[in-house]
Amino acid sequence: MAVGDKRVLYRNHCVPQEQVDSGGRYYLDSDCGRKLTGSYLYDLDGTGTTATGTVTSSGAIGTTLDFIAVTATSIGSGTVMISLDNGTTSIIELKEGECFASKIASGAQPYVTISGSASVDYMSGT
Amino acid sequence: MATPNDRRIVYGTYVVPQIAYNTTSTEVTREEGSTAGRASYEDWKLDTTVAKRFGGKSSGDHVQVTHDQASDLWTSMVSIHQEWDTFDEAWNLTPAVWGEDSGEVAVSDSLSTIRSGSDGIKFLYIKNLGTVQCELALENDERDILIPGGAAVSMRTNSSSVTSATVKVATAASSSTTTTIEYVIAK
Repeated sequence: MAVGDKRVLYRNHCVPQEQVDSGGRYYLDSDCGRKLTGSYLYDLDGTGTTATGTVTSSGAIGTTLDFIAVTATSIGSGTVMISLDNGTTSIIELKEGECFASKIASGAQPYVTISGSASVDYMSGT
Repeated sequence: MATPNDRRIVYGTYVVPQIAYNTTSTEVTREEGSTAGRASYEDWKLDTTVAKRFGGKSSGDHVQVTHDQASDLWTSMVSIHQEWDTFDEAWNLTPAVWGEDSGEVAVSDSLSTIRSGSDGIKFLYIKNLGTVQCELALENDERDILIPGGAAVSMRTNSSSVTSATVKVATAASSSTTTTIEYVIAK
């Protein structure tokens, strides 16, 4: 590595759960049987660049990006959706406090659609 | 096997952007010529451009998914606690997972669906267990999401546009490479 190099450590995990009886506690889902997680240390090529910002209305996050992380920091009303085709088809929904983070194809066009009132933080890497 | 009263998925994400920098030298030369402390070296710290960690987790009801998934193949896993006579599938229709315990599913360079049917998908988790990068398409066969070896993606999907039939995985097109994944695809 060299001074100024950039990288992103990201981790996604989930725990499927099932509730046997109404009102009862949730247990680890027996179809799955374990907690699931994956992590990756993504080196941005050469002198990689990062950017960050906050949006409160629908708009594109950027173009020719290699990595995005998007967090719905607050939702007053409505929904927060993410598309990767410049807003044509929303494929991911974020509830308040949830985050989507992934390496993406450079041809993807990440776009946040806010219907209602919400604040969304994002970071990108190239 | 009785269908559970309810199913939900708790999920979370954690992101730390980092930048390489030179540490401050604490090295000193003592009276007799020997050194103490540590010379400057390169290390990683929180990226000063972003200046914060990213992440989040589900809360409240988390991701409510259909309690009856209709098929055990909504996850690639076959739990070690699962009894063979409660397995929902017909043995001769599920050769890929019958008798296995790892949950690994093979992926080639041709886009292929993971879960059969056309139900709207509410939650998706995919981890790449191999070393070759996996590509994920959620609609229109657009391979927009990349999953390097060891990485995973988890997301609350928009069930109005993402269905079993549109969720597809592959390695790079025409690369003749393969990898394996584990998954949760919940309607």
